[in-house]
Amino acid sequence: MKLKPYEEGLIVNIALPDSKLFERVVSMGIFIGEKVTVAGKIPGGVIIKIKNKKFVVDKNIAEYIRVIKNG
Amino acid sequence: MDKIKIVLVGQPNVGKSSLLNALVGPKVVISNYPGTTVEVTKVQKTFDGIEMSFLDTPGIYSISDRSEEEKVTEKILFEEEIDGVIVVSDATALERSLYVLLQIMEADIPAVIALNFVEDARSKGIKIDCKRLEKALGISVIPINPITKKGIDDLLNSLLRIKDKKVKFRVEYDDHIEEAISQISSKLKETRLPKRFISVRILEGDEDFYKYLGDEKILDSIKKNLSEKHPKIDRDIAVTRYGIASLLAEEATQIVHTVRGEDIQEKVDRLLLHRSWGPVITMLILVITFGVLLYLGNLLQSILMDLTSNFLSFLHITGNSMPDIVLARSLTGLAAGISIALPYVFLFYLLLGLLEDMGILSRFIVNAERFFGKFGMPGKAFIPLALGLGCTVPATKATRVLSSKREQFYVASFLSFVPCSSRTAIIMGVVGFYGGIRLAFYVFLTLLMAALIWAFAIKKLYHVSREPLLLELPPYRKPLAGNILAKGWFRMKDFIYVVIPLLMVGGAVYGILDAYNITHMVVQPLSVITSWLGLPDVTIIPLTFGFLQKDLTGAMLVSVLGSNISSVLTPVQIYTFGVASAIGIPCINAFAMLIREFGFRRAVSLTTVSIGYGILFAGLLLRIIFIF
Repeated sequence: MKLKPYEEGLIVNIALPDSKLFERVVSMGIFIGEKVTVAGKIPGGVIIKIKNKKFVVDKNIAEYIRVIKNG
Repeated sequence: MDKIKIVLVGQPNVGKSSLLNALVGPKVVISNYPGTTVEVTKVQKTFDGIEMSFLDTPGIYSISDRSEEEKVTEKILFEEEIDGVIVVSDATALERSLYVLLQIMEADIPAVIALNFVEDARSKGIKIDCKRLEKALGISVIPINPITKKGIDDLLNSLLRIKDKKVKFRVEYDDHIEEAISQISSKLKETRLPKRFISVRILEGDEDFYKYLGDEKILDSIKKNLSEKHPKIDRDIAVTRYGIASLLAEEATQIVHTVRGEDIQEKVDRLLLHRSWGPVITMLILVITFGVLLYLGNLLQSILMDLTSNFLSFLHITGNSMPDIVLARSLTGLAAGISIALPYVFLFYLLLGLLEDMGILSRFIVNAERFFGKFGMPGKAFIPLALGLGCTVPATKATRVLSSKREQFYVASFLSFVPCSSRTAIIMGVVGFYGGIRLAFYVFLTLLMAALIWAFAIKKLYHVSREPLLLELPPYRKPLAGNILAKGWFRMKDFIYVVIPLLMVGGAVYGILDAYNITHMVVQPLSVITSWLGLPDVTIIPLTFGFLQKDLTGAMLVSVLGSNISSVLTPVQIYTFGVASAIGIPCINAFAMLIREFGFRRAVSLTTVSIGYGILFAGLLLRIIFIF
């Protein structure tokens, strides 16, 4: 599902077809079970916050990150 | 004397270079890893009678072979003879650092953890139990602070014994994967790297390790057997490793309290990453920065040129004899070189380093992404292109920020259209002075147009695949002066050794050719160019010899046409001259830097194609203008 800015969700799946890109995403700390907040949007991408780290993630990657809304 | 070789590994912005500074002081040697755009820092220090050399690798999150940074780190770790690794870790996100650590430990390389940002973590309510982590992993975990130098001696002491450390911790995968690992292990050739490690890398799809397999068909059959339980085994390996890293981190981390509410960092981000304010602020800061740099550059140039001519007349050098010409021209080249090196190299890199260390640069890159993305360039491209407004030579070198050679070359080709300060001087000093400021403005507009057409054409011809955007935004931090100064100084030193001698030689060569009247030899054979451009034949002299030293173009034009240019050339001719001399790789120095970065063949082709394109473009425009 899609999170609106400043909404919090939970990552339930990362379905990136490219395994090496998947490893990069995971090793950055974007992992299944992490709480994620959308901190803003830029054209072609989204700014997310996980724990106390912030990332800019391409739209083409973000669409493979499945989340459910918290609470 | 005993020697040990230590490699520093860690994610971007984890403080590796600050740690290196704290370990050995700012005596860094930065060099490019052969054949890549990746820079590797190497330093040495004697401690307790042992010669230690440290190798700083680029910031990475995992040792995969996806990016050039990762490939270089992989080569250094697994192909060079090293004694141990310092994994610089972030106490506020321990699991990420442990991921890389686990990859290193799989290769049986001894490691220590240097735990950075401990105070930061504490203020966020996070406490790391180092003893517990040490026990779990069987390696030293040392909290450090590069600013106060806390823990540095402990770290050095633990490195003394690193050679004898045996790696005890092992990542256990599930039974199917373990079976595949042992199957592959039994088929491997003997090497110094552990077989288990090679097998894991092979299963992860790292092709560099396939060479250890006697027969690659084995892999296919093993993967086929596994396909039911593990359709994507590489992914399952990464997940297992990250899971173990998370678990280890969680056991060692104690959340004392959680911080609520929006802090100052958030407030700054809301502004800098704002949809419209972000790009506006980015542009504003860049424009102000370059305004100041250009102003300083021009000021410095006029001061140095005055000094040079005063010095020459003081020595009674009038410029008639050959040694006089050589001396006078080389001194002018030296003055020009210094007035480029100081503002556009040293000050620029100081500012860039400041923005980078404060965490602002990454926000600028995100904002630039919107604009540059349209041209198939990543946001980072703004760094070399902005520097190109000062001087094409350091800008060519700055294309190294890009992540692949191909991308680097693509961005470098656009430096043909970014007027450096010397080209701006031609546009303002020749076109603006003799043809009016409006005409000069048209030249700038033409450059932009030429760049757009170039971008459109090249996108079709030269396929640039774009990596998807995936970038961490580091927290804002107080910058460290020592770090930034060392970087700025290093860049300038490098520039001084290459470019200033070339500028001096270029000027002197022109002086000699001019004195013997040899410059006129090109007029006849190249008249086809001038007639295509609708310019008097002699203008080919400033057009071609300007390549030796761009700053001389204006003076050369005056020397061939006389000082009353506006009565010899029509406004259209002045405009055409401006366009033809502004498009293309501008000078021999930029050409030399292109050779250094991309090799002779590519440098020659880019230089000829870009200059040819400029001439073609200017001539075509001329014909379009005459139609109307």
